[in-house]
Amino acid sequence: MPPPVMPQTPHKDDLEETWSFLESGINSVMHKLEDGVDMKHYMALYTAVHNFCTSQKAVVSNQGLQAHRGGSSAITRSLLQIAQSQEKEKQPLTVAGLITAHLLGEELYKLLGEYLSRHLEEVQQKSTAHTEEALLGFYIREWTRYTTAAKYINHLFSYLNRHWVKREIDEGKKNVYDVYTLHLVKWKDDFFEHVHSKVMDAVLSLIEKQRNGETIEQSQIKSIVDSFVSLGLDENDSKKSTLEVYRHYFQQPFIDATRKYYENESRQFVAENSVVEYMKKAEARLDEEKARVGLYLHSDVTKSLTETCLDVLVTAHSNLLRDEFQVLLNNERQEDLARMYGLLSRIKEGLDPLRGIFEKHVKKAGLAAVEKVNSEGENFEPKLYVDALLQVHSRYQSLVEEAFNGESEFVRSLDNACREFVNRNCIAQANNTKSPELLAKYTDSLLKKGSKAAEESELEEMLVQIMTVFKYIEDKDVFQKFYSKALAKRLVHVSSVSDDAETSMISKLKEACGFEYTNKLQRMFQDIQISKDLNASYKDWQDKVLDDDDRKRMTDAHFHVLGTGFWPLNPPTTAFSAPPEILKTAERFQKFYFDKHNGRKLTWLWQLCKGEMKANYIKNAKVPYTFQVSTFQMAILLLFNEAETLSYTDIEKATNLAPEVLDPNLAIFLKAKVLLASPEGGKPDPSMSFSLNYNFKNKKVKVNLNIQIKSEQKVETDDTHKTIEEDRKLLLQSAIVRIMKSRKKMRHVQLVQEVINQVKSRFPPHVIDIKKNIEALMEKDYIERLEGEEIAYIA
Amino acid sequence: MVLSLNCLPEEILHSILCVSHPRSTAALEQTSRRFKNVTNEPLLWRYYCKVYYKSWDKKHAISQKLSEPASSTNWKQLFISRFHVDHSVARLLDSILASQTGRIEKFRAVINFGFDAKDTLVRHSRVESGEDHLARRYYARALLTCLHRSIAVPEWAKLRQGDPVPLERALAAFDLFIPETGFGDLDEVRVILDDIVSRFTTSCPDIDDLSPREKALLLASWLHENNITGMEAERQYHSLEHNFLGLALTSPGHNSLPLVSAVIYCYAAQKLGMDARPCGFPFHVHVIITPSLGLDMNGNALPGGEPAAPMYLDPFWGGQETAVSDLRDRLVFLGATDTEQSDFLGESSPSQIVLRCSKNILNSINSLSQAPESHTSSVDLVSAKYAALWSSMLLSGDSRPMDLRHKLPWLMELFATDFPSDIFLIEKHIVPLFEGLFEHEHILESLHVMRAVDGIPKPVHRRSGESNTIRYKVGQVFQHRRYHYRAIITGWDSECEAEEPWMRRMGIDRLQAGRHQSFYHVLVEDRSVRYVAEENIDLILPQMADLPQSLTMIAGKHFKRWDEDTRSFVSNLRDEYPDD
Amino acid sequence: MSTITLTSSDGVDIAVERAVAERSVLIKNMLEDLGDSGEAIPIPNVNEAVLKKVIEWCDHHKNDPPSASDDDDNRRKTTDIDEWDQKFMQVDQEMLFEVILAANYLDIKALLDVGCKTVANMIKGKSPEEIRKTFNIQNDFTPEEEDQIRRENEWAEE
Repeated sequence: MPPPVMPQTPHKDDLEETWSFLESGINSVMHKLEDGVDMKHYMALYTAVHNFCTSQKAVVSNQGLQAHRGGSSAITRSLLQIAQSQEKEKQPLTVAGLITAHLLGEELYKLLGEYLSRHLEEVQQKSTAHTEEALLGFYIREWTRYTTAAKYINHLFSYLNRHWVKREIDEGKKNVYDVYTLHLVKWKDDFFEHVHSKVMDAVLSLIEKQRNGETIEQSQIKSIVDSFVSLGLDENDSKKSTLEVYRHYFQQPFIDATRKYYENESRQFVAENSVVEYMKKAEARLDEEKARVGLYLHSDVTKSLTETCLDVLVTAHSNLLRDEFQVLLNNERQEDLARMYGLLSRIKEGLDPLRGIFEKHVKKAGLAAVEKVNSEGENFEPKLYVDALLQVHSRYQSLVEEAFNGESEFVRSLDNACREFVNRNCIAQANNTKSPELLAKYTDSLLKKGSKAAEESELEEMLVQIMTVFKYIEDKDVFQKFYSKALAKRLVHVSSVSDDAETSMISKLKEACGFEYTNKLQRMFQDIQISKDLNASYKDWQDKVLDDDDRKRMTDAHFHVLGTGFWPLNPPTTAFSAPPEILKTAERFQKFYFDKHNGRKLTWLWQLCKGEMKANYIKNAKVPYTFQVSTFQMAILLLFNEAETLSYTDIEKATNLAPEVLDPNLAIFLKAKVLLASPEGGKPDPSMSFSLNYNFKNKKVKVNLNIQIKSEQKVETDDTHKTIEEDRKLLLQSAIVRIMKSRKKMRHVQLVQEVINQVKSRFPPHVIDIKKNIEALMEKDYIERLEGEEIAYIA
Repeated sequence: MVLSLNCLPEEILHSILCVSHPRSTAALEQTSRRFKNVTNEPLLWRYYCKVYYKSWDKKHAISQKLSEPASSTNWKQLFISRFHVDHSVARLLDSILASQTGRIEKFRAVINFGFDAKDTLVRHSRVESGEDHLARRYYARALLTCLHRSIAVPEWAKLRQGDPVPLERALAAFDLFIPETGFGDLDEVRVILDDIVSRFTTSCPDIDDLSPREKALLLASWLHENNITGMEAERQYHSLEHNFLGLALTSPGHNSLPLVSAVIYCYAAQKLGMDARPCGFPFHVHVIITPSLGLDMNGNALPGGEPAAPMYLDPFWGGQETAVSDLRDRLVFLGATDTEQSDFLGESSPSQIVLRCSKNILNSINSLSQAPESHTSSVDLVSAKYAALWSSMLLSGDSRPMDLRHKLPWLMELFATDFPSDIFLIEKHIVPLFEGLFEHEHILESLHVMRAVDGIPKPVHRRSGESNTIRYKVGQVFQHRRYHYRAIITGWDSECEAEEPWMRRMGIDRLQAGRHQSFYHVLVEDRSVRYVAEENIDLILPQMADLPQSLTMIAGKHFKRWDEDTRSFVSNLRDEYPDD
Repeated sequence: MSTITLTSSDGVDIAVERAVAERSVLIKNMLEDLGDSGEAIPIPNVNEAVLKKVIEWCDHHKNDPPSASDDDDNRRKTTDIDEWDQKFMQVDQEMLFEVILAANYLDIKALLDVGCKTVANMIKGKSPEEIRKTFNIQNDFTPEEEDQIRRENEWAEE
């Protein structure tokens, strides 16, 4: 290759010469850039532009133009037009009648624009030979060539940009751009406008192919996207770009095509496949489209693409999907349920109808489970009932977790359903306090010695489960009643499985219902602790006070001192004359206690006392039998130390026990054959007499005679219910007084509302009960009725 | 050919002219036709206008002009007219400095140029040296703030007449009274607020997908998280600067009282299409947001077009909704009746908010007077108080003349001592308020006296005869022997010329030399003016830097500059005391 | 440190550090577009004397930060020129204008600026007649025109 020679730059004030020089340079940049441009040409072209613009050929005036008229080329003609039209604009604004200063360059700018138009016209001509992918290839090739050239030309014309173009823009002229932007504008106007729909057709058919599973040249689409984006120019500021062109010419048709494609596909697919299959398909399509954005689209499309796909793939078929929901629930198709959730959760209000169905379904399952328990007869174990509730709950809780993403609205539906079937079912329907009662009893069975759940961790887990059910119980006060009764018994009879388990349960209840709810339970616990210390110091006291003789005859005893207000215990229902041995022990303790706590009162709860007796009288026994007995039973048996046979009346007189207590205890002795009746058989009555059975025989050495009597159990339950009613009345009244005291004056309705708010954590009050209690308080002059439904507090 | 200026292309000549002074350009224009062409380029004169003059009076609609093609405005003519204004203002200022007589009309003439006078005044208020730079700075600044007040006061006057004034404008008017904020234009506040709104919309692009409630809360928490509303923890709640909207927007900590926070919030919320207004809750201004007709705050349509419940929030504390029941409870606790309650829970008009702001300012000033050492803020107390008095005078209802009467003496005193250039504002806006009241005559009388005193030359005090005994000179600095304050002598009498009751009250005859000694008019460091007996004067010869800022700031009222040789101020009262 | 060669319009090759030459946006763009082939770069519009002067300036300023935005109003009326530049510009008018033209051609904004400020300082404070004299400008107004223009510009006189 011969070394390039510095080309001769044209005469600076000869437009025609300058332009033809520039044109051939531009041409080679546009068409032969791959051959390279040498520095000399580069500099010559820049210099030609510079020289033309700085030539002082003329302040553009008519004279200046005349000088150019020599040639009759198209260039000069068009220049003349420019100059004339400019003059018209300028005329009214000239100062002192002179044309104002003017920068040179407009001619070059215009000629360059015309050149580009011609070039693009050719490109457009050629483009008609191509369609589909070939057209895309053509477009991209031409675009790359054109924009690369534009960058060069922009630099070659940078003198024009710096001065003439800048001045035009500063002056507020529209439609004047820097040279690079001019290229883009021309591309858009002179080429893009003619081909964009064909190009888009090709792009869309390519995408459709890919959607149909074919492999395509993705980078082509990416290039097209980039080109469309580059063409977005801000009308008001050529330095900024907008996405308008891309949105209008690419995004819109793309979205439309997407919609159409998936409308067809999903319609067809649904007709031929199951709903579950369709969901899989839709899921896959959504993922695919999301990936498509990253692969070759502009991220701006994400939102509308996703919305369109969801609309066509999910919203349009949402009823169909929802109709399948019940079926999936029935068949426990967790994975498919999760899929459905995933789809419907992405459209507006897509899940709402499902929540109701789910709630109903869970409720039904709960009721059915209870039904099954009920069908096994009346005397089912509380455990069976609670387990049934728990099983339903945990099954659906895990469904919500796994399939519904733990979404709070579904959690709420689950809670609603559980609350329904826990509180109102075929077992609890007659008496809706049945659930808390059974739950409390089940808890008792766990916490009582001898429960099967020996492992501590296992027990803890079961307590947690109990709390799950407890959360749904509406009549929490009922639970509290039964629970405290059972706790009292466990404590008094020292039959708790462990202190830790008791404490754990109480703290769980406290956490759920607050301090007030567990206050008494905790106090009971404390009383037992205090009693332990008390017995210890009693022992010390005895060691000091008693002489050996006393000590020998002393009955070994242990005492609980229980606070009246905290324990759900009543004084004995029967009179009782304790036998002297017991009485003495009791009196000694009393003396000790009153010394310590002057002014307190002790009531002996004989019905809860128990002891052990050794039966030394029985023949044939190598080791004497030990009887575990209640104090009442002890009093009866001790009578036989003095006599072989006693009549009913003797016993009645000596013990002072009422027949309701005496009779069943005698019956126990008879049944166990500790005593023998005469006449034999029949129930104890005043006509009978009793004697010791010296031939008593039992497999065990220790014989428990202190058995709870059936009728007692029933009475106890009824009593508990009765005290609940009483307690509720008190709770309501104290709530009413508390509210009125702080608000002084209130409308009736508001008061009722407020009361409901305050007590609903314990039990669901009936409005009628609240009203009754308001009346009751009026009668007691705590509050009074004013005019117009208002109620006032009487201080 | 020898290369000459004439050979340079237009674009280079243009660059040269851009760095030349317009006067040079004018000279160059006269040299030849070519240069006449080059120098008449509209872009050049537009450039001069932009570069030489920052402040433009409204009448020019300058931003409109700048957005149009350069050729649609005669920029050269516009520049020349501003150039003339510049000179006129400078001449008026010179004349004000030269004589104590006739100042009122000169003030007036400057103010009449409107914002076109501002660039000149700003320039002169920053002079650092020169024969009379203290005085120049003082009067340029006085005129500048007067100019600002003449923009601010009409906003409140409009409110008074019931014309609509946007809340942020009505509140930004307070900032115009405070020169330290640097605000000179009500529109500046709006520009800053608009910027905040656009920052919000860029950082939360999806707000239009939110329900009205979510949108309202998001905005509140965004503003709070970005420290635009509310107050930093360690701040003194009642600090004076917390009352000013402009300060809250421009100071680094953006600290503001609930009222100001609420106004910021309301502006932004309204820009975003919400109906947000301040609510006149006692002690703590909240914001009420009313949903669009037929919708509730969650964006759900309401049946039958019944109005939906509004929501309340407290932008001072951030993005939490305030339950209306909480507000009611608080009102019940405060013992409000039902009608009062609905009043307190309703929206406040801009007038009410301005009044409330003015009360807050007076409160802040009161709490400062109880603990003056806590006044660390950059806000000038006197100016703040003056702003509060103006706004409360203009916006107190006519039905309560007691309020007006109560505050009139304070306003008049401040006006007379610190802001005498405001006389025409007083005449235009305060005098009519008292029409029909007995004060009317009083005000007119005192304004008349002011003008009369201004109009006649001061009596001349010469040092001759008995005046020869006067020991000290105008401009000297002393410390009071008994009260220890520092002050500058601004005038003298050869013996006490105060009125008899004053002398008795002050116990003049108990002085060692009694009433027959020289007495001095003095300007004290706390800005007060006093009359001091010669025997109490202990002359000091301080360095300029030793003097308190408060004193050097106001010294310009009477003095040209500090003289390092005599350690005293150079008098600008020669027409009154020619020998000092 | 790469060096390139510039060829002045009168055919003299001048070696110059590339970073120095790239103070000229023209050269910088070209090297960016074409790459450095090692060939000498022709500078057809600038002769040796002027080109050397320009290179001297570029060399002195090669570490300057790139100038701030184009349309900065704050650049405004200050005709302050730093000391080195003032000294640099102490040349005859011919050279001054040559340097200005070269800076404009080579697109060296800061140098053009210094040149313009130097000229502005030469105009400052002069009467029209003094300006004519300084720059050898031909008065081509008619006396009537001249009179009218003088009156129009009275505002600018002290």
